[in-house]
Amino acid sequence: MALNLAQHEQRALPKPGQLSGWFTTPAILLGLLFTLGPIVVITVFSFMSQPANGSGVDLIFSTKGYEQFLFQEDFYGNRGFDGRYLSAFWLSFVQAFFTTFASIAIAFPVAIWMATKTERTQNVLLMLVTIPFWTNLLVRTYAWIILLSEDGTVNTVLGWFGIEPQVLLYNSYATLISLIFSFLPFAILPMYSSLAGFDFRLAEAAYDLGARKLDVIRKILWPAVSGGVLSAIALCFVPAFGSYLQPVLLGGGKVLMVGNLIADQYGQARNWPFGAALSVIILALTLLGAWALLTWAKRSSTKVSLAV
Amino acid sequence: MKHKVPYALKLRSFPGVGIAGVASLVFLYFPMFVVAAFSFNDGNRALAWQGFSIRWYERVFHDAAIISATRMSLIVAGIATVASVVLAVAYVLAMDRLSRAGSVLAGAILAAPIVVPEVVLGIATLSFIRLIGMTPGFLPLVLAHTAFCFPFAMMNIRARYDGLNPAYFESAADLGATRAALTWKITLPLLAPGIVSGALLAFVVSMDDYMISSFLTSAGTTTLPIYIFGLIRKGVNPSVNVVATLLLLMAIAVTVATTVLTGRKKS
Amino acid sequence: MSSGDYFISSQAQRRKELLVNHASKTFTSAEGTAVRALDDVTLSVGLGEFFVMLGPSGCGKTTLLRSIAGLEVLDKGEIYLGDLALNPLPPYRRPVNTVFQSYALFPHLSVYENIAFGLRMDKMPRRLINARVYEMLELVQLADVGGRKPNQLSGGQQQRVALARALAKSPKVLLLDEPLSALDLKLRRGMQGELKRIQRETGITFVFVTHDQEEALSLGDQIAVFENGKPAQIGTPQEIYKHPVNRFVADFIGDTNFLDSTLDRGIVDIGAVPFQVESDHRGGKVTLAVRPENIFVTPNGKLAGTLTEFTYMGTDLRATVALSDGQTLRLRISPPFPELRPGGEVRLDIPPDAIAVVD
Repeated sequence: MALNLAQHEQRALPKPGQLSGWFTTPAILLGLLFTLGPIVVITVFSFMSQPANGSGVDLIFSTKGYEQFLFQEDFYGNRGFDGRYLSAFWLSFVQAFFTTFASIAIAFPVAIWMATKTERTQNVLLMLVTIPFWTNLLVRTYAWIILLSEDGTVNTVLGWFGIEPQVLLYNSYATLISLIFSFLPFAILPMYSSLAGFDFRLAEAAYDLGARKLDVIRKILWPAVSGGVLSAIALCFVPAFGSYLQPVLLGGGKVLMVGNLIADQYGQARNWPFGAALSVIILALTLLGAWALLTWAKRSSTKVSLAV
Repeated sequence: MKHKVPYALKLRSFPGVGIAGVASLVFLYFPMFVVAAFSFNDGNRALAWQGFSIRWYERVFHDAAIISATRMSLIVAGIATVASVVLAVAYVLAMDRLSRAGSVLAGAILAAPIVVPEVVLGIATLSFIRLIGMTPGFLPLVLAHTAFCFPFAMMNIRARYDGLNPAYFESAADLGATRAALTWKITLPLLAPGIVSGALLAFVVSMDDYMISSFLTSAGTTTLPIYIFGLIRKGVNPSVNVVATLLLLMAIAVTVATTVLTGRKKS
Repeated sequence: MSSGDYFISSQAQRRKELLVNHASKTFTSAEGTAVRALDDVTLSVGLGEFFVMLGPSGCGKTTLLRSIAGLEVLDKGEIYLGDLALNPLPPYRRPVNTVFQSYALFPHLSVYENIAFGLRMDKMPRRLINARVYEMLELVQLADVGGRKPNQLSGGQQQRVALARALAKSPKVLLLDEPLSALDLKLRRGMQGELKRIQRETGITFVFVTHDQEEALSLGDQIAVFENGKPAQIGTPQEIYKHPVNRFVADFIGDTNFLDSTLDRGIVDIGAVPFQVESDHRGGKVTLAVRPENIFVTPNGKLAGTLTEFTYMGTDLRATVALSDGQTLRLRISPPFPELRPGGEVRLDIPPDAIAVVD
C-alpha cells in the first residue's frame, strides 16, 4: 500500500531536467497581466463612454465607439454615414497588401539565391539579412527621410543628371517603399529557412524528367517555400497594417492610416472608447487572418512558424 | 583554359535570382550606409556633405538629453532583459509539465506580443495601467517591456532546450544529481548559448521599441527612441545620424554574436 | 499486494540479486494508441553476472533498463536490488548507474569533470575524487585524456569515458543501453572484449541491452530474449542457441530453417522421413527449427533431396536442397566439401538433438 502511494507520487515528479510546473507561474502571470489583461481592458473600454472632458473612459455602457467607426453626428445630432475611418482601414489594407506582396515577390528569388550558395556563404548572407531585421525601426525609417527629402540623396543624384528636385517625401509612395524596406527581411528569413534544407537533388530529378528551369521554379521550388510564404504573410501583413512610424514620418501624417488614427484617439483626440473600438476591430481582423492562415496551412499541410 | 559550363547545365542556377539577391542587399543596406556616411559630415545641416569630421559624435557624447535618454533606455532594457530571460528559463524548463491545453493557452498569451499590432498593445497597456491606478512611468514601462521581450527571449532558450539530448539530464540524475544540482550544474550551462542569444535579442527589442513606450513614458522616463522620434519630427538632424549609426552598430554586434552563439543549424 | 509477491521478494532478499517482479508499463503514443512496452515481466539477475537483454527495437528491453535506472516509472510491479526496493527511489538515489546509448557526456565539462561528476554529487572529499578519477581513467585505458573536452575524443574514447563515469561511483549494477551501437564493427569487437574484461575485474553486475545477437552471444552469461514486452526465453547462450523455445527466438538468434511437420510420440517427419526428437510438445502440427550447419551431406544419409543451388563462401559452402514434400532446407557445409552438382540428388543426415520443436 505504502509502496503504491510512493509510486504514484513519483509519477507526478518531473523528468530529469524539468522543473516543477509551478515555475511557469511568473511568466504566465506576467502574460496574463501585461498581455491578456490589457487586451481584455480595451475590449471593455471599447464599450464604455467618453468622458465629457479629459482622457480615459466613463464606466457607462455605450456602443458609441463602434458607431463612430461608420457614422458621424453633426452639430444638430443628425446621424450620417462617415467613410473617413473605413477609408483609413482600406488604405492601410492596401498598403499592407502591397507591402506583403512586394516583399514576398522580392524575397522568393532572394531565398532561392541564398539557398543555392555554399553553406558558408549562406551563413554570411543570412547574417546580412538578419542585421536589418534587428536594426531599430525608427532608424530605418529615418534613413528614408535622408534619401527622399528635398535636398536628400535621391534628389542630389537626380541633380547630377540635370533633373529638377522632386517632391518625394510625405506621400503614400514614400510610406510604401519604407514599409517594404522595413518588412522585406521578415519575408526573406522564413522563406529562406524553408528552402535552406531543400534537397536540390529533387530539382535534378525534375530536370531529368524533362523540366526546364522555369518549370522547376514553379513546380518544385515554389511549393517547397510555401510554408515560408505563410509565415511571411503573417510577419509582414500584421505589422504593416498597424504601422505607425512610416505613415507618420514619411507620409507626413497627412495620410490617415489605422496606426496613427488609433494613436491619435489616445493622444490629441482624447477619445479612448473610439480608439479602443478601433483596436478591437483590428484585433478581430488579425485573429480572423491568423485563423484563415492556419486553416490554409492545415489544408495544404504546410507548417507555419512565427519563430525567426 | 577552364572549361565553361553552359548555363542550362548549371542545375543549381536560376535566372534572375542573383540580380534579385544583390539588388535586395543593396536596397537593404544603401539607406543605412547613407545615414552612417552622413554621421561623419562636418556640416551643420544633415544633408549637404561638407567634409569628414567626427564632431557630431563628440556633440552627441556630450548632449545631456541624449545621454539621459540613452541611460533610461539602457536601464529599462537591462531590467526587462534580465527579468524576461529569468522568466523564460523558468518557463521553458517547466512548460512540459503543463497540461496540453494549458501550454497551448499559455503559449498563445505569451507569444501574443509578436502578433498583436504594436499600436494596439500600446494603448491597451495604457488603458490597463490606468484602470489599475498606475500612471505612465518607470514601473509600467519596465513591466510592459518585460512582457513583449519575453517571447523573443523564450524562442532562443526554447530552441536550445529542445535541441538538447534528454540523456544529458537523465545521466546527471543517474549519477546522483538532485533536481537543484542538475539545474545549476548541467541545465543552465548547457542552455547558456540560448540564454545569451535570447538576452541579446530581448535587449535589442527593448532598446528599439518606440510605439509601446510612447504611451507609457512620462516626462522623467524618456527613452532613446522617444527622444530621437521627437528630433526627427523636427526635421533632419546630424545628431540623429550619429545615434542611428550607433544603433546600427549595436544591431550588427548582436546579430553576429547570436549567429556565433547559436551556431546556424546545418542544412 | 498478494502473499505470493511477498514470497518472491523475501526470497530475493536472501538471494542477493536484482529482481524484477511482475513489471508492466504501457505508453500512450502520439496518436493516442496504447503501446504495451513491458508486459508482466519477472526476471532475476544474479549479482556479478553479465546479463544481456536482447531483442528487436520496441520489444521492451530498453524500457526495462530505464525502469531499473529510475528513468521510467512502472505502471505495476516492483524492482528489488537485494533488500532494497528500487521503485520508490528517484534515479539519483539508486545504487545503479547507466551507460547511455548516446554516451551523454556533458559537453561543457572536461573528461575529468565528467567522471568526477557523480562523485561530487556524493560529496566525496576532493582528494579521494582525484584518486578515483585516475583509477577509472586507468581502468578504461585513457590515462592521458582527462583534460580534454568530450568533443575532442573519438567515438571509441567517448564510449570509454561514459563507461568510466558510470563505474566511478562503484554501482551495484551497471546498466548499459546499446553502448556499442554507434561504433564501427571493428571497434565494437574490441570494446566487447574490453567490457568483458572490466566486468570480470570489477565484479559488478552488468545489465546490457542490445539488438545484436552476435554481441549477446559473445558477452552474456545469461541472455533474455525479449519479444513483445516480455522475455520469451532466458538462458545461457548455448541454451538459447541450441534449444530455442519458440519460433521467434530461433529466428532472432542465428540462421535457422523452419519446417512444417507433424509430431507423434517423439517422432517428427521431415520430407516423409521420420526423425526422433526430444520434446514435451503434445503432438500434432508443429514447426521444427534446424540450424543450417547441423545438416550434413553423407552418402548414406536417410533424407533425400534435390540440390537447387549452391554458393561457395570461402570458409563454407551454402547450399539449398528441395525435399520431396516441397519444403526447402538451407545448408552450411564445412570443408572438406563433398562433390555437388546443381539438380543432382543429395543425401542428408540430421542429428536428433539438432532438431528443435518450436511451435
